[in-house]
Amino acid sequence: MKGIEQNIEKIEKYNPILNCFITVVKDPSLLKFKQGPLTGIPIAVKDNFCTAGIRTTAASKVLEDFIPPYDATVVKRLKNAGAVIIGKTNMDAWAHGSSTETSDFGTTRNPWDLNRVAGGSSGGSACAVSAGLVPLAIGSETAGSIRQPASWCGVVGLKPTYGRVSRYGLIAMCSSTDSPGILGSNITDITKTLQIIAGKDPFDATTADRAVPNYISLLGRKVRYIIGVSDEYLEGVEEDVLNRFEDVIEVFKKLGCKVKKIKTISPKYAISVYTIVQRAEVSSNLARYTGIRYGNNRSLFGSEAKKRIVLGTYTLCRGYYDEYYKRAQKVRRLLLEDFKKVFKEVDVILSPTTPTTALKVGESEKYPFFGELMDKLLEPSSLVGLPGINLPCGLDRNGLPIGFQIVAPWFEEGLILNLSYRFEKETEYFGVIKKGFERYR
Amino acid sequence: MKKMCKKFKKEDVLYLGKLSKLELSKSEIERYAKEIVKTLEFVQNLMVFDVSAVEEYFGISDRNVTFEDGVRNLRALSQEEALANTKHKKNGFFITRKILKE
Repeated sequence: MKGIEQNIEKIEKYNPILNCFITVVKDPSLLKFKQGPLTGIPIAVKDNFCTAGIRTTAASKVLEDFIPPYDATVVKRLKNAGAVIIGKTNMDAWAHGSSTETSDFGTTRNPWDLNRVAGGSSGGSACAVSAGLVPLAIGSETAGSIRQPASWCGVVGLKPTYGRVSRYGLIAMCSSTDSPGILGSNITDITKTLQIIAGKDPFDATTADRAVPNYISLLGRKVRYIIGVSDEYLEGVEEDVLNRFEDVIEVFKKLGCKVKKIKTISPKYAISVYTIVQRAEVSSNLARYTGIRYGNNRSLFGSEAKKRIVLGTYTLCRGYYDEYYKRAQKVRRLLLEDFKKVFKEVDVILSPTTPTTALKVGESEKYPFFGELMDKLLEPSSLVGLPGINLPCGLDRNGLPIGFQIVAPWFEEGLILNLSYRFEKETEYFGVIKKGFERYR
Repeated sequence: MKKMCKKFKKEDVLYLGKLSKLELSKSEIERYAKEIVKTLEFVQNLMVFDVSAVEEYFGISDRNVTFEDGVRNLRALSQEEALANTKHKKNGFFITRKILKE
């Protein structure tokens, strides 16, 4: 319990400047915990996961006073394993965005530079881990929302395969890609947490009916993997990020991996597919907010959500459905076939996580679809449900964290974690995570 | 497709807002119309693919998934829980707007 009090103290000290939590849990009855593999470990949960008795807003005023009567499956499993839900983290409203600037509860600041954004949509979770306010945080990713903020805040962020972790109780945004995942500071913690939250859930029919491997036993195995690198994923990437990525490749060569050039469909097409599919699913998923059964009425939707609903409704309208939605879903299959082909040649794909490091607060307004551009290296894998991880690999000339990602075939989280673990042991993330902690003692 | 984007007007935003039960301000309508045209122009890059022989892909599973029998009852809320968050209730029921005319 003392550990938890210390975490709460630290959150209260730094949250006023970082704004990474929307709600901090203080009620002692909610801070009680069970015995299990995560006994007494404080975990922050993104505010789009339902938590029984703890306000859940999705960072929107529509749900500003919504107190769920039940726990999301992820939350329930964590609590059953002994974890304590210490607070709910800030995010883009309804997870629409990549900077938390669309949150109705203010923007989360980047712990490395308070004038910059933490990324998003799981920006609060990434920020809280980076500043050492919590050892672990739960996030969700639809197309970059875990890996991108993890990259910009300099932490580890795992997005599991779609269907590996239950979506029950996760406020639906883009149901065909939404994936709960984990942000933390080392692979062992992430692995232990995945072991608990992964697996079939009768309450989410889209969870995979396949055994969950013993992930911990897979860590450290010296397998000589074949790593694929595609030039299409290096286009438009900043020089500092590219340089660090080249160093990362050298590390994996040193670890005995073979690097192979691969050819993929350019991620720029995934931006279009995602833009259409996401808006369409959003328009349908946000139709349930009527203010009748819970929450406020639709007049409290923020501007970004309204725009997405309007565009999504348009792409699903008779006469336009074939032109937009249907075509996008067909190109989505081409992306799927492309990945299947690539994974016949290589074990994993490596690329930078984001084309740039963290942008300044307000800068996103310069881009018509900023989120899609910042997440472009993450969208192809998200659209086809692949697992991926962000690992920190250095700092740019402004002292901001740089990350790279490992993407593996479906349900190969064990492979990702093993490779990440070996990278961690070899490099200690070039000191990035440790340096992040030092600023917030 | 290009023609279609050009055609997208303020009136379309108004109509789509009505369909999705959103009240939009004048400035929102103007801004959305402009931004949506830009987005629709951007996604035209998908026209480079010949998808005539390609089937749509809707997500990870190409099969339809359904709940096991009885699961929906297991996760059902009690009446009290279901009503806990509403601002409009009476005698254990939700109050909604009248939709039928007398």
